Amino acid sequence: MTLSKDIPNGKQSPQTYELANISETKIKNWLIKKLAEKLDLPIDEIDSKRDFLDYSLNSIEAVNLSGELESFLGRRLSPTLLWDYQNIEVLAQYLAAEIIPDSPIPSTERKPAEILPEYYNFELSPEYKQLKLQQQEIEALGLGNPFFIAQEGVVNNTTTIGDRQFINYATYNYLDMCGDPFVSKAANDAIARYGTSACASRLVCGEKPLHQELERAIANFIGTEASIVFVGGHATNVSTIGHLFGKNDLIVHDSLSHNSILQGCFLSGATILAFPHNDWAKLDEILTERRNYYKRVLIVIEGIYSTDGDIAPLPEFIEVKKRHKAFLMVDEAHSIGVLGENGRGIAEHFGIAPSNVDLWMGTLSKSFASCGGYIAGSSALIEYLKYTAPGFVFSVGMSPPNAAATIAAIELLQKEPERVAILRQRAKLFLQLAQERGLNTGISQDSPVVPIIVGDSLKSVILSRYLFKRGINVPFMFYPSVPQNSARLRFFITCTHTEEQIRLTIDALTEELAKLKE
Amino acid sequence: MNFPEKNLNLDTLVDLVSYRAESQPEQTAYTFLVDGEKEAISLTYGELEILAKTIAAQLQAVCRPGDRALLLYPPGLEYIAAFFGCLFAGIVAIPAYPPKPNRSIVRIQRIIANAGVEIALTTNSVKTNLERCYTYAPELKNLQLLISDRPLSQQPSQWQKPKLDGNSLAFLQYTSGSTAEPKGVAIAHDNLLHNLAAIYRCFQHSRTSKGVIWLPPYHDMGLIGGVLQPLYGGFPVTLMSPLMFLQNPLRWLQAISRFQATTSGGPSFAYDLCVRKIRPTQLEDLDLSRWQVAFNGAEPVDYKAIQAFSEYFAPTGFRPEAFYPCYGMAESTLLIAGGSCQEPVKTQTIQASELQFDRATIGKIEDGQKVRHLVSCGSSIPDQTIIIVDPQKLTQRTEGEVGEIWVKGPSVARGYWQDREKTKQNFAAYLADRQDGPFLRTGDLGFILNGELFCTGRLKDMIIINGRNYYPQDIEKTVEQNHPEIRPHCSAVFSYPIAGDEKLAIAVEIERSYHRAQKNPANSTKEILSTEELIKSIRKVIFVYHELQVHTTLLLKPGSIPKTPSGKIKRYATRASFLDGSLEAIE
Repeated sequence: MTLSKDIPNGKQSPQTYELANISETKIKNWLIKKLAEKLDLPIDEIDSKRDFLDYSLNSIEAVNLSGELESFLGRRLSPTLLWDYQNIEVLAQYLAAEIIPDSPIPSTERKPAEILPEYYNFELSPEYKQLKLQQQEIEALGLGNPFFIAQEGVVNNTTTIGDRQFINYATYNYLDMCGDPFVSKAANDAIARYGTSACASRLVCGEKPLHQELERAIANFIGTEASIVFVGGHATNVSTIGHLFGKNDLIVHDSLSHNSILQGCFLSGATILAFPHNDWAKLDEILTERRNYYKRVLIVIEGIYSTDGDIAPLPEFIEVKKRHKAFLMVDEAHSIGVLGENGRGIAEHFGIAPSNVDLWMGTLSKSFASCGGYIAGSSALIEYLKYTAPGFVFSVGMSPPNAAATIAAIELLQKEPERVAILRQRAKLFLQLAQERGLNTGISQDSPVVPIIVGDSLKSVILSRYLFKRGINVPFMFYPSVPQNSARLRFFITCTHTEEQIRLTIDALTEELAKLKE
Repeated sequence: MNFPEKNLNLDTLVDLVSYRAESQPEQTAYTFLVDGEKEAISLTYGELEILAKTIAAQLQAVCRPGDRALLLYPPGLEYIAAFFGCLFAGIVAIPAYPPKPNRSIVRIQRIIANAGVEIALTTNSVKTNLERCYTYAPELKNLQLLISDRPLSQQPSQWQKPKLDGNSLAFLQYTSGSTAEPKGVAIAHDNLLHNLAAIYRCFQHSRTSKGVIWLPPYHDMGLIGGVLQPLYGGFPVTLMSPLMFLQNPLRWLQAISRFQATTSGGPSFAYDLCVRKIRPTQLEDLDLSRWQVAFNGAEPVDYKAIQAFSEYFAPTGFRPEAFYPCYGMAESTLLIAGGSCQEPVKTQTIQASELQFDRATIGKIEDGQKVRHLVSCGSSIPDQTIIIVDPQKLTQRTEGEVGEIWVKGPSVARGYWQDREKTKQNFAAYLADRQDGPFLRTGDLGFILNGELFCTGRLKDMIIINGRNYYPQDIEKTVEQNHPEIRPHCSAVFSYPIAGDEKLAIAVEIERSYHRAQKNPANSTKEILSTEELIKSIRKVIFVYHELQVHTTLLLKPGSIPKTPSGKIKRYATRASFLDGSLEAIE
């Protein structure tokens, strides 16, 4: 869009106004006189405190009056003055003050005449009705409820549902740490010693030696000064982003960001902008244009994107962050334990010093066989979070078995880095075979998350159910998790998947997809 | 489809935008005068296509083709980009007035419910207004908002061309009927292309045309005539908000003068407003000599207003033959009939008494006879049939007979969204004797003389008593002319049934001065009629001039009679208020 103040072929210049300084009383008297004129009323019947609405002035005359006011005052005014301001008094006051408020003064607060049942009976609430409607739609497919299906036993490359075993692609137990005897034993030992809960906030008497050991282990593994663990991965993002940033700040996030990041952004009250997926150049443009309007700026990206399985170009983002003096946060939920030779994540993958990123975030439920999330970074940042982050301070500390399981998983990973290599090799095989068959794997690359994009929502549900019948468990994803036109099946590969399982799966997938097309 | 250049086959408006963006990427498509005067922003065809694709890509990520999206924008380039964004995504656009602070949003709520809208495109500032409504309209919270004046996360390259053809719906035009439920006229791409071709031809547009438009871009005339027609013809248009025009009507004519516009227009009231509000000293700098098509439509064309405007603005070089009266409605996309350019406006003087018998008798007018001056709306656009039909018997009437105007042709819309009943009633009318159809029933009354269409009134306003037709405007005029106590243009005549018979009612607003004098007779120097005497007098003149018995006379306070934003009487709404008892007569 181009902005020009030039007027093509302008023979005459538009109306010019001379600035005049006119008092409130003068404006009031003028308004009274004009209104009386337009309504054919004697001046003494115009009440300056009476609502403009009550004068039944037609809308053309109301807007036109603002135009006459413009000539009288010698400056441009909003055409909707008589709708935005309640009466002559208020309008004259505003015009004399020459202060333009952010928003017009609302004249009347509307109140609902009665309190509808949907406001106090949840079953009748529109949100719940909407959910029921969606459930009916899925039910109408006649394929049963695909949600909340109970899985018996440990889930890895296989899972048991009811009494049937399936090849499983629905778990992010990437490194087979969950169910590993070493990890389970650590958790059991912790229960024996501390019981099953921390029983208090860590700040106030909930702290255990295990917690300190865990946070040290995470910081060491990632290569930062310190770390803090939260009891939920989702809560880690919400609480950290929501707490650290505020009104005069800007948060710029990738358009494919996880819900926990968005929730944190909303909570913060900062200005929020999305940049196109992985487009650091666009981010650079946005910040070039806007950086100066804000105090702090946070850039949030993810190591591996959980719906598409691709990796953020971290080195470029670091350059942009440095150029614009911004904070950079990387969510490693799906990349920690997965990327890099030793599973140390995206920094190791790109060979970058961890200190280039201000906030490392990750979850403990994927590669680390537990529950919760962490933030790793400078000691100052972590110290501040430990004393003030609401989701940490006002929450129970991580349960001892959960803490112990994570410590054991990190230890085991350092002992057996080959788990990472096998995972990478299996994921690569899956992707390669899928691509050879011409399946749409989107932008997935170098990651254990491989989507098979089918487009239509219904198609993804049907394909998932067909594979299920053939003994393969893989969930579908559709809008709003992914864009409306790119519904998909999402495959999580783990290091336990065998080559044979993968080949069999790709064969089945190719056949079922071909059937769907017919 | 006949296209101005070459014999291009375009099926949709998406093709049209892409064609313009390819063949004239650098040409300015739209210029918007932000303040109605100096500050101008503009958009080229190339930029328009990129914006449309970006917004479309954003929509495609969250909507399915065929979904409806509400457009809540102030007039401007963002609105235009969002409109085309919807078309590019295969989403059915619904233009609507954005919510005003302190004003009811019932209309928006009804549209959302009627069209099953789940997403709205809007600007950041409108969003704030919308959020203020959440306390009393909580269902708005469920509306997903796409804020298009902020950076969008999708890129134009992510746009996927949807499968569209002429049959695909482009947008829903909600009509501002006085009845409670808004009706969404479903307009398909082929309706648009047909009507755009017709306008291009009738208005004699060319690549050298230039438009200036202040009409609200949410309605057929502003959107199709003001935004889509320039795109169709590949000529530039300068736009401004209707508020800028109403605030100071001089801005409209200044823009025409400054941008040397050849085509511009509006309803009759706009011309009238210019005459009333623009001072003779302000004419000096205006040059209206290049104005070739001064279209005048959307409400009955008032011959007096045309004459007054032509005379008043003669010093600016305005040519009376530029006036272009036309007739149309959203149900038929936009234009149904229009005159021929370069020719003076055609008029017809007819005997008012003959209209009672559905006859438009011309002949000799004797002294003292009641007459009506009617302005011709021209003839039918190409490939379309207009017939005049007896609204009760549904049989065709002949030349010079008055009846309901029926239309059949490719510009007639698909029907009302999700309203089979009303669609059948209005869009699928058949002649009783010939089974010819389906026709669109316009609800307007008129006649055809020498191939020219004349409109005489609204069918639903028509009063039929004892088999005779009465036009309410004739009776209102009689009453107003004979009673200085009654405000001019502030009376409504209608009929209502009592025990199976139609009875006449008249509601009039009395002058404030009369009302005051009534309350304090002591203050008045003149003798004043009592209200009983006034009512008696009204009954008398109506009987004398029209031989009609008045059953009910209501004297109302000023401002009581419902009117359109441009000040036209809403007779049907007045009747409805009367019947539900909400019209308050003064003591």
